[in-house]
Amino acid sequence: MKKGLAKSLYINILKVSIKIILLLISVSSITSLRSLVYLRDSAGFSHSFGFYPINFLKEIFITFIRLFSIYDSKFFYMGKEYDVFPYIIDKYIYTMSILFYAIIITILVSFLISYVFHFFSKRFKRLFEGILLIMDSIPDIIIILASQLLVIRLYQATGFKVLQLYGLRDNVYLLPIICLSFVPIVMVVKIMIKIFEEEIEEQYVEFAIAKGLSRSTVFIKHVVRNVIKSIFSHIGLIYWYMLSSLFVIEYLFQMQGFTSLLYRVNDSSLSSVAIILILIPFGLMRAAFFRIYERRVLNE
Amino acid sequence: MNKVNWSKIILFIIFSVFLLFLSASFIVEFGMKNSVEPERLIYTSEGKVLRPPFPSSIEHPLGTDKNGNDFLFKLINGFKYTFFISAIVTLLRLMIGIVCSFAILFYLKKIKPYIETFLTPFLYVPAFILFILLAKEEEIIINAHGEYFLIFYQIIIVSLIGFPPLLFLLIKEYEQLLNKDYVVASRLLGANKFHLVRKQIFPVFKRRLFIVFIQQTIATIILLIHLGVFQIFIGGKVKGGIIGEDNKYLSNSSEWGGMIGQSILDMVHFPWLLIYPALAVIGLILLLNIMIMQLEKIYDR
Repeated sequence: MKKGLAKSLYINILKVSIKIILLLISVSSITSLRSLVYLRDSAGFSHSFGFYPINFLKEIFITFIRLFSIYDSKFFYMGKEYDVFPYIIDKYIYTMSILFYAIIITILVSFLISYVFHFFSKRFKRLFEGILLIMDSIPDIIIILASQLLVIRLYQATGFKVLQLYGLRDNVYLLPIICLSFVPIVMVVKIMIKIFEEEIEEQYVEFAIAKGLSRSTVFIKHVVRNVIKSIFSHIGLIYWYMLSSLFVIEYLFQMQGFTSLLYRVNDSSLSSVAIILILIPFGLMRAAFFRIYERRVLNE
Repeated sequence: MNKVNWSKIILFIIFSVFLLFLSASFIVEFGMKNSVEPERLIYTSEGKVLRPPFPSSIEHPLGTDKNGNDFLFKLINGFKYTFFISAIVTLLRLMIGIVCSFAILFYLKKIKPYIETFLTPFLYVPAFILFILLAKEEEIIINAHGEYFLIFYQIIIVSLIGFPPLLFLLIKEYEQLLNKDYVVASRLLGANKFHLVRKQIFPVFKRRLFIVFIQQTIATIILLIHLGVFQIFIGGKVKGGIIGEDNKYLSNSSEWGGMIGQSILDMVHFPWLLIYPALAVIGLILLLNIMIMQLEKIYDR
């Protein structure tokens, strides 16, 4: 019995390590995609176009090997030379703090909206769903550009600077966070309303209300707990959506952030480290939510 | 019964709106191109010289763009490119996705978790980054193979980079269907893989397919806007300005994503260059979203 346990443990460890190595190879293959279609000279400039699979494999191998010595290397960015490590960590903390404020705001606001939604009358609910449909059709970029235009117009009209717009010297926080959480809030509210509507028709809710509990107690204590799991199964989608708008936001607000390392720097192993750093919080978040869910919902 | 009819009427109206716009778009491209001259310079009565872009006026209801072309005609002209690029890309993507997902489910089942691990980074790196890595240096591609090849190559790349998320989605849907009781029973009775696909999965999935198609089309339109922001235009670039003296580039095909992208640098001075294509894109996505909603209503019944 014990021997079998040990054996399955080894197999699990083996599987996990294969997966980690696969992840690293996959990330290095993303950042060396340039060599699949361009031939490049020693300075890193592409000069001819074609299909070069062998070159590509070589580049993946070099990138993969260099990942292990990235810690004390240097890189060129916008004509200046930087040490990789203190530089990348500073930028990373700034970018990720924006992302996490936006996630927290998204979750809080959408919970609030879908809570309030239940006290609307039937006609108002239909109207609200129509508004949601329209909001859902607005791409994130248009929100960003419209907010920038609005702030600039306000400044021109009143001479009063409402919010800081561009992050050339200082770090900007407020406007990027608002822009980043706008579209996800609409997405999450749509998902939540759908799940809540299904959940509210379950028998245990009817029973609780018949017992004399108030609507909000039932909502907060019973419905939310059961809904949490289905919402966190959508967290991957939300994270993915936020990431892609984060890239655009950092570009449009000219923030001195982390994401531009992925497309402005010519060093493929540095970009690989950037991708890995982007994936880590998501993996941790999913693991943590899964643990909480297991303990709170399954065991009780 | 009554509600289904309403949904069908709404779908029919949306289809005819699309058809109307498409035919208008073709008429503008091939019938009117020579009769409408771009407006170059305007001499006012005070002796000033104005140069494009001009704001809305009676001759040009939506103003003109930086080259002096009428903006309304430009937008209508761009509709067919937006429509066809996103439709072709989505079709290609779906075909590759369906074939690959069946192959993975039936023949590579043992290494499926590893394939999923390998594709995870491709899922979370935004698609336009992959596009920038693969197809940013347009001059090299044009020098090597010409402009038509560039368009072909761009469309292939756009279809390929949206492929990993679609693959995950399709695999998830098929697995749900494969676990249904009647499919399991059919397999136990000795049905082979092709029979399962043809008789058990496809008839059910056929309904979802159209909704997935529209959702992917919306995703493609948003991707085109993202690419436009990074000054990458499907169909190549042209020099801006009335004689091409501007060093900002414009989209050659006047596809809507590119039109939004080309105007972000001018949005403070000439806001109509941004606002009209933005409204057009929102309207297009709204129509597609309404289509999804009505289709779901029909299938639920």
